Amino acid sequence: MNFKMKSRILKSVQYIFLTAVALICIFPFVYAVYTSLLHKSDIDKLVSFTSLTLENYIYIFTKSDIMRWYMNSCIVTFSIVAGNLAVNTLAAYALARIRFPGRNFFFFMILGMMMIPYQILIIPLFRMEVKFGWLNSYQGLILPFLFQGFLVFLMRQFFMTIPDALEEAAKIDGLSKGAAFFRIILPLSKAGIATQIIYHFASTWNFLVWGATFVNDKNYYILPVGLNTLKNTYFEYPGYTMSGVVLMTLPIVLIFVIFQKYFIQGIASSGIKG
Amino acid sequence: MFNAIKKLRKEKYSEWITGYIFIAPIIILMTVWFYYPLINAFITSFYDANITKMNGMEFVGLANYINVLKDGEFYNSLKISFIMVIVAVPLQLIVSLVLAAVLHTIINAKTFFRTVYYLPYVTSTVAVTTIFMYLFSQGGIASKIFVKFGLPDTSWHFDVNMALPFMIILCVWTYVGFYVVAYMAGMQSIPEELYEAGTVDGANFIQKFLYITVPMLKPTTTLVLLSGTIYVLQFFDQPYAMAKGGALGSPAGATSTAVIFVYNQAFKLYHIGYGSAAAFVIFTLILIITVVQKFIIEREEA
Repeated sequence: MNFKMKSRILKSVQYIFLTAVALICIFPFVYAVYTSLLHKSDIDKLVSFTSLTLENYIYIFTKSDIMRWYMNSCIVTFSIVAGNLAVNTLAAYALARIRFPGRNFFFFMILGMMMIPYQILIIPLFRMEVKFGWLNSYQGLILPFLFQGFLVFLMRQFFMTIPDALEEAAKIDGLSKGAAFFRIILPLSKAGIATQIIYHFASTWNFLVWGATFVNDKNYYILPVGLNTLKNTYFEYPGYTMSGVVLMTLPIVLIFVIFQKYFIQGIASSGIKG
Repeated sequence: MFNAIKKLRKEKYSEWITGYIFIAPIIILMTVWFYYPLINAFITSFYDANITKMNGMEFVGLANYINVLKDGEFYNSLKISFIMVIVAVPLQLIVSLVLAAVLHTIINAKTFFRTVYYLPYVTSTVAVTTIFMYLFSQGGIASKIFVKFGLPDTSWHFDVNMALPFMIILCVWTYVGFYVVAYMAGMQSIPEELYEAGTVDGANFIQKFLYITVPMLKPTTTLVLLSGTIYVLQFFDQPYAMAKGGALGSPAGATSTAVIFVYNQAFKLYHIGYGSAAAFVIFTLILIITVVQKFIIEREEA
């Protein structure tokens, strides 16, 4: 009896602790959504459900270029994620399963990228963009970022878990390595591909530095940059700023909640992001 | 017989070609957009180069490196980054380890809690920083709570003394969930028998945590320490957003992290040679710290 009581108390303490931390995690989001729905005169007050308004959203949609930034972010993010998917997956398969001279050298070249912080590249990439005339352009935000050493590594690990026997069988059936990859291995790799997409989508969607450095024309702002200027302009008007925050955060939160299994698999299978 | 060898050889070459075709895209992209700029930055760091006059570069040998190492502002930004590492990384580690340990033992709502904890990590840093700037504004909800602990009622991002604690809070809040997930993955690989043996020996919840969970999670802790340190040393987005379009690193350099220093050199003062040299000094420091941490952890294990 005593033991049962004790374990019940322990259990409640555990849940109270976890819930308290969960509240700390969620509260800023709740605050953002709530503030974004407040009338200007209600800021920092607790109001009833009926006093909430969508006027901040309407203002942001009509007075800022947020739709344009949404479109830019979509174009840039989808291009980068799709390009990476092709480039990284092909490279990963070559490194995991195809034998050819120089393979180890290439592998170290790719691993080496993970050791070097991206900040070193800000200055030289900016100069290259200037030289190519790519400031304020989509290609300037997309082309330099079509590969990821970490994702090659992740995908290579994934391919190594697929049994050899499948390719042996394909070989006996007369399929070349390339054909075996597209017809047999790729259809089996949905989980690895999903992990790559989800993982990269979040970081590309949120990435600030390149958008802030390579673009100064409002028409080519991506969302993080746009939101940052929105905040700088309207800091005295929390309602406007917060509706911008909600609009930017909503897609990624939705995607995360729907696909959270894959996000978490990504970390679990690789240990940790490099 | 001869034909068979020929066929085998043909197969081998065709495999080589497939390999090169598969790896070619990344090799080309990586050479153009990674290794070339990397070498370019390294060369630039030996020049007196200005972004406004790209062609008038003057070779100055090690002068940039020597000047960086004598630069008080550079040391100030290193100090800020290192304070962040020393405070934020252990804090993240302890909080995420405890959370993961508790989360591992419960049965209901595990996925729910894990999802909630991870949410801050997938949210845009600009969005998060913006929300926190309001929460920690003068009269803001979080500021009011901290006033009860004797802290001044002020806008943290604007206050010389509070800006750094503000960044540390942001940092811990954002990354803890990521490490919780990493730790939970590590805990899955601890054999259940160890805990059963612990129960037989009469160990309680806390003893099991200290003598079984913690030692068994050493590999994850290594990763958390290393990657946490690297993240924090690369801190950029949050101070960038906190500047509200004004001078990066404000107020009075209180948020000038190492990366902000490099960025300011290049894009505010246009000293790209000097900025590149600073970037390589920072990179070298990160490398040394990583190697030393790894060495210490491995020696402890042996």
